[in-house]
Amino acid sequence: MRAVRAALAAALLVLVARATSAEVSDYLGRTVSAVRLEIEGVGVADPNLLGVVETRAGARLSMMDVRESIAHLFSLGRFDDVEVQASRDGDRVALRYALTPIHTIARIAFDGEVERPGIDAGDLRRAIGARFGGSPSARRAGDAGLLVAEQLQARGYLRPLVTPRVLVDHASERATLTFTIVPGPRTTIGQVDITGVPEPLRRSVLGELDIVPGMPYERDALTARTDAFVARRRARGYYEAAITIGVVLVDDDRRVNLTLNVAVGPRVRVAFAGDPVPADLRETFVPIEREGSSDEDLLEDSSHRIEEYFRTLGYQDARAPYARRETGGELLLTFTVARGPQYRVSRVEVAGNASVPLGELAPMLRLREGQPFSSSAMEADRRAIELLYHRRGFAAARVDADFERDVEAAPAADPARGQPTRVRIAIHEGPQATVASVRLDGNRSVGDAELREAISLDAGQPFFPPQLAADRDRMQLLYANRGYAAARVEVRSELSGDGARADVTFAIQEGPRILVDHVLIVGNVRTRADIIERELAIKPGDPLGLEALTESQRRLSLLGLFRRTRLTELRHGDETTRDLVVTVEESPVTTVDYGGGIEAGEVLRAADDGGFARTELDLSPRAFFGIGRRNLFGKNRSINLFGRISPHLSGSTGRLTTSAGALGFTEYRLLASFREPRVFETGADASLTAVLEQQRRASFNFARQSFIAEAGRRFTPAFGASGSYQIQQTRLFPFQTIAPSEQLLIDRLFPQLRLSSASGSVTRDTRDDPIEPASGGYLSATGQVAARAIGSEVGFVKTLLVAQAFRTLPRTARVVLAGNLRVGLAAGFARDVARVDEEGNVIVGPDGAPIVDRVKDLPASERFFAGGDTMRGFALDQLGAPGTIDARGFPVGGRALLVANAELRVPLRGGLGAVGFVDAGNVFARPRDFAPGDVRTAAGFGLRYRSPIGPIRVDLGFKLQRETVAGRRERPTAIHVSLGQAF
Amino acid sequence: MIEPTPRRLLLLLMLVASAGAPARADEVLDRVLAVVGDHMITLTDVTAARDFGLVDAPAGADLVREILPRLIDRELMLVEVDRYAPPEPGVEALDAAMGAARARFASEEAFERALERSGINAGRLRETLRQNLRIDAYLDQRFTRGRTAQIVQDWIDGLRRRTEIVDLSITAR
Repeated sequence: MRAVRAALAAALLVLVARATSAEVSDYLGRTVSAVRLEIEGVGVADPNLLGVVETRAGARLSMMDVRESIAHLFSLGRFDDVEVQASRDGDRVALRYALTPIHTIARIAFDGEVERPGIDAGDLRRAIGARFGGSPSARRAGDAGLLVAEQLQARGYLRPLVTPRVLVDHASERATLTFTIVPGPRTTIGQVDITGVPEPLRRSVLGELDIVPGMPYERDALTARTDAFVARRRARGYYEAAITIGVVLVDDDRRVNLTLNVAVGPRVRVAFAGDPVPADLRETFVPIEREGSSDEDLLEDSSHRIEEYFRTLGYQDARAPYARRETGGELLLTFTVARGPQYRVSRVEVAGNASVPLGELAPMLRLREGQPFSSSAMEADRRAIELLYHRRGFAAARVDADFERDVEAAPAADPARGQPTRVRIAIHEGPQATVASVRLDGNRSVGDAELREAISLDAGQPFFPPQLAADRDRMQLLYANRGYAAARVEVRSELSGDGARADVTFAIQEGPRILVDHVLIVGNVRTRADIIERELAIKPGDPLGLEALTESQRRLSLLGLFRRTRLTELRHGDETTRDLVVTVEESPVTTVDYGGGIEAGEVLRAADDGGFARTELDLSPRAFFGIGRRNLFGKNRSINLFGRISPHLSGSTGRLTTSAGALGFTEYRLLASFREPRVFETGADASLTAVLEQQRRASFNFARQSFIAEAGRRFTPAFGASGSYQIQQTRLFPFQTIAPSEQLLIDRLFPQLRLSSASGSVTRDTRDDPIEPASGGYLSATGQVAARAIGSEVGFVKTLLVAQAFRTLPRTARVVLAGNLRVGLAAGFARDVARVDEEGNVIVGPDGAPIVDRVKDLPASERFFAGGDTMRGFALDQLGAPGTIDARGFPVGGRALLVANAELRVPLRGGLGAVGFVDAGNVFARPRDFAPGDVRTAAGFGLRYRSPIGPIRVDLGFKLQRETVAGRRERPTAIHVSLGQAF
Repeated sequence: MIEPTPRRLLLLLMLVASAGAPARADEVLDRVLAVVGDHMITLTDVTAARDFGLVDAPAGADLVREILPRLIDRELMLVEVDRYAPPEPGVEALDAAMGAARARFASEEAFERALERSGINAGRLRETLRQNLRIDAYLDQRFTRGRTAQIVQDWIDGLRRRTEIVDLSITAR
């Protein structure tokens, strides 16, 4: 019996033991036999996934590795859930990672009663897209359902039933979100009461609001109507107009009774009396219309604004009280301005400046003798002097300033010259403190020398407390860039008893240095991970530095492949390591651009009488189309096709006729390019471009086919270099303008020309903005060589130097002074060419030998021309020194170019700006023909408008010296309309 | 009829024991229980919070029903704390918090085993306690007067409404 009891107990123990599930502790420390990843039950062997799992077969199981693996997998942004399961495999443990992928909604559908009035599936989809993005996660289905319900309520279906359901396509991991809609009854408007307006007017108000009892209650539409009503009233001067809507639901929410509380308010008129107030500033001073209010606070502020305006002009006693008068539904607000006398500075007396000579203080002062006195300018001067002293170590320095009527000054003969005003500035210097010592405490990882170099403070310098704060920030930034994100720097200073010396201590708590463990790249569908990795300035094992993160973000943005990039840290077990998660959202790979417009400018045309050159305004339509595909094969390669066409009207009248040849010459340009960044794993970007074009110049037209291979590299953000090889076939159209006897020999001998050339350029670009620069400069030097040895029919060497500078004038609101200089030089290689007749037969001389001509010029398409954009007092290509203009006034072009421009760019209002410019330069037949007396000049002005596509400009240039060309005096002006700045 | 001898009885009981025992099932070591914004909360986060007293919960509180919501609230508050950077806790306060966490265990070995079960080390625990102290400092700063549990909860409710929170724990129950 005893044995039976023992057996029973043993069996029960076994049962209990078997029934209890294993604890996590049971698995810890055991060797991992296998690690398997499954996505929705299907095993995966994706190395990108396996690579981020920290648990390894053969290693001992650690929960820290499990946590880190979950963190890595989750951070990839691909999975809604990650679950790690363990099972005993003998003495070992097998791990299974069950991954639930994020299913993004690819399609949104609606079923149910979606045909009911007021329900638009497109509107609902757009609302969902606006709230949750283009590809929301399936787990947002519930939230999306709530949004759909809100939208239906806004359309009068106050009790909608919206049931979302998600159907997942596991093959593509995409889902369809379907909403079943049961809108319920639509609430209609029942009774409408209006308060705040007399009874006879209520019907017209209702009519204007377009509210009819019985119509559906659409909350948003109702709000839009009332807002429009209020806006119309305010536009008519009823600035206090307002409507509030009271809503009462009745009849089980089937009807809604509205109460519209209309407050029209008086019609407000603002008048100014007394001394004149500038008309363009009145709305700024009294913003009743903008604020929609005429309350007392606003009116008092308006008075103060007017008074302060006049005080800045020297009218210290200016007063601008307002008065209200309400009569017959109109509120008249009258601001009566009394400027009082204008105060003018008669003298500025500075006292107490023992340590700083007056010669150093005087240039800082805004108040000058003879100028209008302004108390705000006096306060600014006081603060500026105080800051100067503080910077020099006079920490306790105090500056007092006041003014009074200068009774000693002779009163101005003309009262309009104002009251003489004496300004007194009294300086109380106090003691000057210098830094006696600078100590660094607590820095173990960064040496003293390096820290001292980062800060500007040093022994012997004036003691200026704000400088300490700036140096502390610099030190912290240095640590942050080294990966010490938690570093803290405190700065303490101790003044000596006499206040003359300060000992400064920087107390540093370095904290742990954070290193990068893994770099996880998320969101790249097309782009290869190595394309992204090579742009990162931070790699596994590197310190997680702030500067490296910023640089990485910048480089990724510059790729142009991503709509958004984000770098985030992922913490896991270890305090000193982080994973870096690089999340990218790829831009659409295909871009399509198109557009059109009108090109306008002055061009040279042959006059009907004698064919002499005359300038005409040319208007021609222009259209362009471009399509590009980027990120080819995930390697940031791109291919682009671009086409532009611009037909020019025929005839000197410029009328578009329907007869043959009506459209005249058509300019076009077709371009196909392929770009490969970081070609052959170098830092250079390469491109191949094929061009078909047809262009019109003042004295000739040409058609050209060319192929260009180019490689360029940016060595620093400012400095770059490039080299290219180009082969082109150019065909000149028969010259319509230049007489054959005046055509250059090369043009007669080579109406068709093959050119093969190599060129190189270096650039240095420090402009703050390449489209609208306000500072910096641009330098470039380009050299081109065409030679018969590399397949060119003629040879030449050509160089172009460009130098530009931009400066914002101090104390101005972005007034920019811009300068530009272009120098071009070219020389042809001599070549002997047999003369041919019109049939192409070689012409022989009396001795039977072919007649040979020596040509040294550049072909027409390669010669320099100027006029138009570069010299705005002249029509396109019109400019030329003697020797480059033919007998009828058409330019032939030259081998030397000099153009210099200076322009002052002044912003006006909104996107509008004005410019004034001076242009000088000319085109010379040969470099040695340059003569200062041949430099032509022009001046003018223009308007700029900052449009979404860039600055649109209209320039009117005036020739400063008009010459007689081809027997006719030049026109004095030229007008140009174009996109972009002139330079 | 077969007489139930002791040997036969023993055999019968052992057969029953082996037949009635459940098949060995996969044990969930860890999983994602909730996602607060971009931050995930795992099962081991919840067990660590229970074992080391990282959230204010009664003894024996249910992991998912009581501790997880508190961890979600903690994550929401940490976002605000990081934004407004309250004063850093002192070393003494941090040491005291670590000591309190250790004191929940009978021995140092038990403490180490608890760390191992939760997949964290002492450094990570210390960092978590530091964040808790920062939260306290932030709440002191924000609700300088009249700080009540209700006021704090109302504020947290507002954070919840503004943040995307995905509770995956439903399938874990």
